Amino acid sequence: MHEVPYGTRLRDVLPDTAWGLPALIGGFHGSWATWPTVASARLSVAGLAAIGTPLGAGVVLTPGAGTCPVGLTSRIVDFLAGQSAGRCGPCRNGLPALALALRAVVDGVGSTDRVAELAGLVRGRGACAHPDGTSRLVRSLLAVLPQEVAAHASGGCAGDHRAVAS
Amino acid sequence: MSHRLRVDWPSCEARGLCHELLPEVVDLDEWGYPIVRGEVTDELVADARAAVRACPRLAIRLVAR
Repeated sequence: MHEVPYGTRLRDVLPDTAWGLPALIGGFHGSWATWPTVASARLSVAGLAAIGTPLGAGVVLTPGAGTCPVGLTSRIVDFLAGQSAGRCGPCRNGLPALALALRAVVDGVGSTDRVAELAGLVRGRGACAHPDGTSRLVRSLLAVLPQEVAAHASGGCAGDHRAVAS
Repeated sequence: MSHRLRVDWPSCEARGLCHELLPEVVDLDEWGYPIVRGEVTDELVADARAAVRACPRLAIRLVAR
């Protein structure tokens, strides 16, 4: 937990282990950002809106070297699917399906098209924004880290899928 | 004036009558829940009102915008 002046450069707050690597800005309902984006970011509403990653819950997750962001996202979506209140059908059915589809991509057997389809399907179709936030996380993964995602289809990801972020 | 269908998601239980009565605007997802495609045009307002009345869960409304 850090308390920093408004407008502080994000890179000045992050631990050394985060340098050069993508970070998840905004917590579990947040967005992935590449290191160049993270390095240029300032901690303010306008500064983070400018790079398309709202600060959200105020949490920045830095996976660290050796941790696969795709595997980490998959585990987060597993968790978020379990956190659905289950009141709205698209969320109750869609998030577990989304978690399964993303797990299949991590295992190198799934289609990213299916993941994108489900992420689009749950968005804006619930009484609360839980599915919207989960969709944002997944869509940002596909949009911001396409090479990391593609590495799984070719079996080329050497990252740790179980590691915990800091 | 154009109209739009609003779904009350916690009430909806995928009965599917909205799609039966208004396929021009309402598709169903793979679990049977409605996907509202765009606005309700003036020609479809009467059908949309019928769909709203027919919903057994009272889960859709037609709102002017």
